[in-house]
Amino acid sequence: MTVDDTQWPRFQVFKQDRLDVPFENVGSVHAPDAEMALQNARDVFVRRPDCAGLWVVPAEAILEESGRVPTAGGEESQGGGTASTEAFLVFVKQDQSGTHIYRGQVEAPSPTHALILARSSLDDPDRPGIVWWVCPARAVVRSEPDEAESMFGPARGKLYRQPGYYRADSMMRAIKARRRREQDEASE
Amino acid sequence: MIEGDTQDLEDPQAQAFEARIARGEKVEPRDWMPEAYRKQLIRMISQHAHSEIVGMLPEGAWITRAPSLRRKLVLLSKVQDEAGHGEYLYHAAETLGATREEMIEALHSGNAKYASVFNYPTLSWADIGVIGWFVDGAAILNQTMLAKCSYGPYSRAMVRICAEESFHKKQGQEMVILMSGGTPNQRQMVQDAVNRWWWPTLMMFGPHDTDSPNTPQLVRWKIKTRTNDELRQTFIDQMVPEIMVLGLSLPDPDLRLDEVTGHWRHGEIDWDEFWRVVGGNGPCNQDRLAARRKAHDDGSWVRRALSAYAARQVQTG
Amino acid sequence: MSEPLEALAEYVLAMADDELILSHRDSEWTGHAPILEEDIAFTNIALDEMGHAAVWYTIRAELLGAEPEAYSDRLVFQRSAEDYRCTPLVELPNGDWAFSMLRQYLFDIGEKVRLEGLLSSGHTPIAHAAAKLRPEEAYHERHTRAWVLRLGQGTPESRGRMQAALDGLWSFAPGLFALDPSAEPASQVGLVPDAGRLRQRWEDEVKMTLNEAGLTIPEGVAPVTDGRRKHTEHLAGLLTELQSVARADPIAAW
Repeated sequence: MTVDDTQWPRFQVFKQDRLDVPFENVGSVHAPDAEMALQNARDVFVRRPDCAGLWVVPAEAILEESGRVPTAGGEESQGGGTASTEAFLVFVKQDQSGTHIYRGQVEAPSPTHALILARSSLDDPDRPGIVWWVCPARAVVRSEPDEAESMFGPARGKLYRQPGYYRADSMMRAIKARRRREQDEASE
Repeated sequence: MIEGDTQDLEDPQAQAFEARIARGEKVEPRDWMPEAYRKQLIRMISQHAHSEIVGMLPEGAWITRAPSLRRKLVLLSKVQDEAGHGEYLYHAAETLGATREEMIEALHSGNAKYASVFNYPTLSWADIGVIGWFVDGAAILNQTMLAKCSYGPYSRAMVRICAEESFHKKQGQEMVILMSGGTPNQRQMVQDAVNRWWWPTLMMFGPHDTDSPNTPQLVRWKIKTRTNDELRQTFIDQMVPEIMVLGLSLPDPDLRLDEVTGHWRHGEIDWDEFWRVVGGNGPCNQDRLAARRKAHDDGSWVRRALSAYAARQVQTG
Repeated sequence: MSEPLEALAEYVLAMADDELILSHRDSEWTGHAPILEEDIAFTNIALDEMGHAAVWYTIRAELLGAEPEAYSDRLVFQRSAEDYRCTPLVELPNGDWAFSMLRQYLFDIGEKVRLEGLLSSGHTPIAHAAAKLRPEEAYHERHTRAWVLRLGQGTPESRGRMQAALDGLWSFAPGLFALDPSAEPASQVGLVPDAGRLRQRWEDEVKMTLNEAGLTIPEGVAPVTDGRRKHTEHLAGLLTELQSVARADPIAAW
């Protein structure tokens, strides 16, 4: 065994709790390919209810920029009339305690341009982005809606993963009440 | 002094960094940070991850012997959660530039530490209940504190872990309550487990504050917000009355309630044992590492095969 | 109780025993899988199968008018090997990762075709249970099929190990569809699907995957056809471990 023995490439995972809320970065998994990454993401991040969708993206496909770092020149992307563009997904961390949330898409000829465009067109002046991520849309592998039942359904039935399933608190209360009664009777 | 801490206190970057933390801002992966901060966090987070992974072994060994269908389902879920928590934590360490290969190699070579409590053997089914109540209970206290820490990815991982960990403690407590009120055999088994796990659990909170030179710097960096002894005392105060109400005793003849402060005073921890186990000479250290190394080595052909398959898909895709 | 319903209770017992013993084998990998992600994924499959066992034991309890939780635990922890109705395939020791992945895959397709067949069972609780379990089983198939393809096509070493696994498992697989004589009346009145048809559908599907994985299906191999009452030498030792804590204190509540 050597240090080089691979742990497989890293994929960032984005999860959508319900259909009416945006995807959010929840962490990462290691996998040899995108299909296994999607499955691993499901097993790691969907062990409890509330998941409507999962995306996985190779970590190396994401370009990151901190909001505190000024962008070079701060100019909007010119793009160029003949440069080909592609869709980039944009994620923003807006809250100190929050994580990267899906904001939208931009068309750009490169990740660097995509970042510039995202920050100029998708930012919220009242709550400026703290950290920005962009990745090519083609690098994203998504769970399909028709798989939702088998991907996300099983977590709903496993009530024993919730603390409320256990009777420890009520059992302790009953035992304490019994002890108090015994003490009261003993002192009579 | 924390290793790598050559930062000049007059350094404006370092001062700005500490001001951000004092304001309650989260540090994110791409932010400037003192090298000592980065190194300390990589060490803490990766050791936390290793603890989750190694912790699967003493409990996982009892899945096949769990004495009811319900307990089988519960223990399978709990151990699975622990692997998941390892994932969240390795991820947090990776955001600081550590690679999983390096971290795993450090664990297997014995260079990286993990929570010593998992170097003790699980000798009976009752151990599973006691570990859930005591060890996961102690972990929850520590993790609730860390959920507020200054490093964004670590604090977010902690929030997720805290939510999932609460059932770990409850299921353990439920088991101990049942056994302490059960058959003579069960009562004896659970008392024996309590006797063996109490002190190792108290040691989870680390050395005395006086022997913990890193603590003041970690508090300034808002990685820790409470000291080892403070957390330990909170744990003891929470647990002792509940354990006693069940008719169980604790293996500490010096344990007594200080009526004035309301705190439980306890006997001295065997620090020789603590350092021995931390240093690699606990009852199960060798076994734990050997098991992890074996899983890794045995799995080498598997990982290579899937990498080869993936590489060909990229070529032909 | 009518003969068909008694037979149904026997059929359900066999399904439950298969799931329980397979889950036991799967859980032996926990903490020892080739990579952390599989510690989670395969433990999840073990968890699901244990849940399925509980579902089928509960249905049997309801058919017999017994209290489900206590009765299920009695079945699991108080029976000896000769009263178990699991098929030898699930009793086999885990072997290497290739063996375990392939065995799980063969089982998963078997469970898939069986659950599809049970959707139209005349016994409503079974039809409902089958509908509930299908999404979980669909995910297992997705996982293990992906592994079979990847290991079959990965490297010469992984293909060699998969072929050895297939050679070792193929004769045991048809036993998934074996019916104990006491369960046969359930099949005759259509409460459960015809075993021969299930086996054919299973074979068509697994052969496609195995071919795609580049594996050679063993030919001229006689299936192990000892039914569900003759077990491998592994089951007794497995049950000794499984039942050790419960049997040491039989009246205890856990």
